[in-house]
Amino acid sequence: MSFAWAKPYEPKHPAMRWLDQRLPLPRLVYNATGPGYPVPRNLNYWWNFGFLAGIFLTIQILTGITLAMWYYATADGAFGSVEHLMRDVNAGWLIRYAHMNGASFFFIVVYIHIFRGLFFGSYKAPRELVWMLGLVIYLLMMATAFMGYVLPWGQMSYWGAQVITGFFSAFPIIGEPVRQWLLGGFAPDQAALTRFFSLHYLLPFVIAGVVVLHIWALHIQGSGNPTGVDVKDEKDTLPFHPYYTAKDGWFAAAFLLVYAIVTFFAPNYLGHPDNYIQANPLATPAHIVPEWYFWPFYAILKSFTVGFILPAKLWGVLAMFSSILLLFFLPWLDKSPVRSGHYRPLFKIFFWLLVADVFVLGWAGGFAPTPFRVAVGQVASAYYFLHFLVILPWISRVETPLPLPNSITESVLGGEAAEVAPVSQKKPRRGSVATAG
Amino acid sequence: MGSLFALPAAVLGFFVRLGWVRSIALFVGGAFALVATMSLYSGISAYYASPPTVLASAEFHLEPKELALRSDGPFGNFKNQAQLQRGFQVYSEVCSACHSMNFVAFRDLKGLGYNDAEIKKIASDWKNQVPSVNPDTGEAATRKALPSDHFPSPFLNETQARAANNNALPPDLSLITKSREGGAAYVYSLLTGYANQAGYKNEDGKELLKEFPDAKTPTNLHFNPYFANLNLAMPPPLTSEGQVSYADGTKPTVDQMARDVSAFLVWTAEPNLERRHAAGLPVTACGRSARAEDAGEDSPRQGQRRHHWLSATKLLHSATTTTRSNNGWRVAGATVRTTNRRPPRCRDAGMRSYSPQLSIGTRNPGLH
Repeated sequence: MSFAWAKPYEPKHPAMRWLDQRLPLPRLVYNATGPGYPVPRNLNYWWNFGFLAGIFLTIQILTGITLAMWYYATADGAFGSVEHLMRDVNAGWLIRYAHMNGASFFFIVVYIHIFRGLFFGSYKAPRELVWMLGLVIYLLMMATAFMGYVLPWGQMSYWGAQVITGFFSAFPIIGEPVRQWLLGGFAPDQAALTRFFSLHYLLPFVIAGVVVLHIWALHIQGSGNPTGVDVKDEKDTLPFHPYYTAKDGWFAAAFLLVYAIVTFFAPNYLGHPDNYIQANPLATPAHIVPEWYFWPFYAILKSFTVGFILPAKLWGVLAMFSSILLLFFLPWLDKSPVRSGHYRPLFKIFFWLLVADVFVLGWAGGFAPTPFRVAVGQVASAYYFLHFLVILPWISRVETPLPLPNSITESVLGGEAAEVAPVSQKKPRRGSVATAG
Repeated sequence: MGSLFALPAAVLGFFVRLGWVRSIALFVGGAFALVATMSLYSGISAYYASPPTVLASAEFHLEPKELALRSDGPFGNFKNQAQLQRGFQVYSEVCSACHSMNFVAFRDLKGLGYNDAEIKKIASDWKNQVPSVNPDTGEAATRKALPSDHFPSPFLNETQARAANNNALPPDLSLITKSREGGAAYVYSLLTGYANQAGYKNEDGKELLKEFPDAKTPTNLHFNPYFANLNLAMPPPLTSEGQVSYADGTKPTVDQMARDVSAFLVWTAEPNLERRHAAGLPVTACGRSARAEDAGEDSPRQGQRRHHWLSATKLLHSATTTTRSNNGWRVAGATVRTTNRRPPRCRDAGMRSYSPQLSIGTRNPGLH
């Protein structure tokens, strides 16, 4: 596929040859995840999360299909049907908790995957489309997760739907009609629940389709790597199978263990207690909060309290949508030719500031709004936009990157040589390895 | 003339050098940052212009008390059946006067150790009957409850419930320990936390009514510092020792009754909790070493002992036999192996290669 030295598929078994000549499915698998796909030899553990995301998508689809067999999408019956599943159906509690926490872990994995991309410049040429398709997947995930959270028809389900569809009413003139059209009524009710269920079932398969495009685009250019240096020859790569199937496999097992611990021993830790109260349109919860993975965006939404030309609510909604949409322009905002953050001293500092900023936003969005928390959220929101739209373009103009290694192989073997024979007392920085070797 | 155009020319030149993508980015990013900063400024000035009034509930609301139950932690179980049965008795004789328990069925009581005959009797003796239809006239009627019925509600509908309770709606108790922050400890604290508001002081020695004279509890409400707004519609339900007489000789103090009913409500919220824990052990700990709580009935967390992994098997086995066996769900593979009298190994739970460091055994006791 991507490199001249990629091993061509040669069927060993006559049955495979027969199949391959008629439908080259074995060839496709071989070239995508087998020895036919050469991968940089220096991938670190941050590169395991794409594979993991695929595993969690599979878990969600499998558990979700099972849940749908027991779920009634009716305003009267939804909550009770989930309780029936949890109490009376064999292993129903397991399927439900696995799906509930699977969503959270899917987001954990995807967030790590996205920040991996941000640090190692995975959005840069020639992988812009890989990045943008990934963002499409992320947006679809957010829509799917939101609609899935509405389905059990608990208090937070209902009021979350109320708040999130309320975003649309911030837009002048068309806002309110659009909101009513989306809900099929003036407030979330039977019509909204049924269509959310329908779309919640549909979107994961759309995600799976975009995942195929995401991986296809990736395999055209080949995976990036922690040095950000292009693959030059065969020495720089290893066949995906068995090297990365083994590494992905063991890491997935370790990560799934964490998922299992939460699912079996603290299944409600990441949820909100109010969602075990049946939806009541007449009783508003004290604090309406979305699921934890939306907290940073919720903080941005709530940070805009003053109107300036546009009304405050519209600023909040625009800011919240923009906070994700701006990521589509990242390849053109960050023009630094160096991909990896390891060789970008200034970028590295601001990257970690951004990570801290997103955690602060999560904290500001997830808990009851006190004056202090709101103020911190406003500072963090302002920084979020400044980071991507002002600081990042500025860095790429003024920064002097560290010298890059001549090749992937050199960076890897140089590092090993330094470890084996520590001649100099100072441990060489990753960035200076190339010059040392 | 040159000086007149110098500034615009410099600005234009700056944007031209910046390129159009970065110029737009600067504009958009600047706008969002500006409005966020304006919001910050307006928030801060509003804070100093009129500092928000501190509410009595913010200063006098208490976090739930400590409550240790057998169902706590990764090895938590429902083996304290005597306590759970006492808690059920408190629900039947006290709480059920106002609170429904819609998601629990009489048949579920098997999980508390009642046998079929006992359950049949409990159901048919239940004070509220099940709505039905008179087979001769077709008119609305009621009939005695069966084991397959869910607990009938004390009120016909929300309106009747509110009419009987000063317009307050007693919440359904099936999921109460899952639907409240603090869970069982919150329920226990609320039941035992009623206080006389006159002269009430918090831990800092501040007197509520001196600090907040307006916070006096309105008529028909009841002061309880564990409730979010301090004033609860429910009158103290457990008021005196001996309100319920326990058959097993346990002294029915208010504290004991509150503990028992809280333990019971953990079970009603999640009758499969014990199965979940039992299934989670072989999946995550891989049977390497397990610590089971074998404490005495009412002194949980004491006498923790280290067990050989076989005790995890024991736990599994009893979990699948003592809870409702009509559901018949067997814990992944392990129970099957137990009946084959072959000790379960890692691979029986579908996992083979975990190192002991990853197991949640004695090495990782903090997992609760």
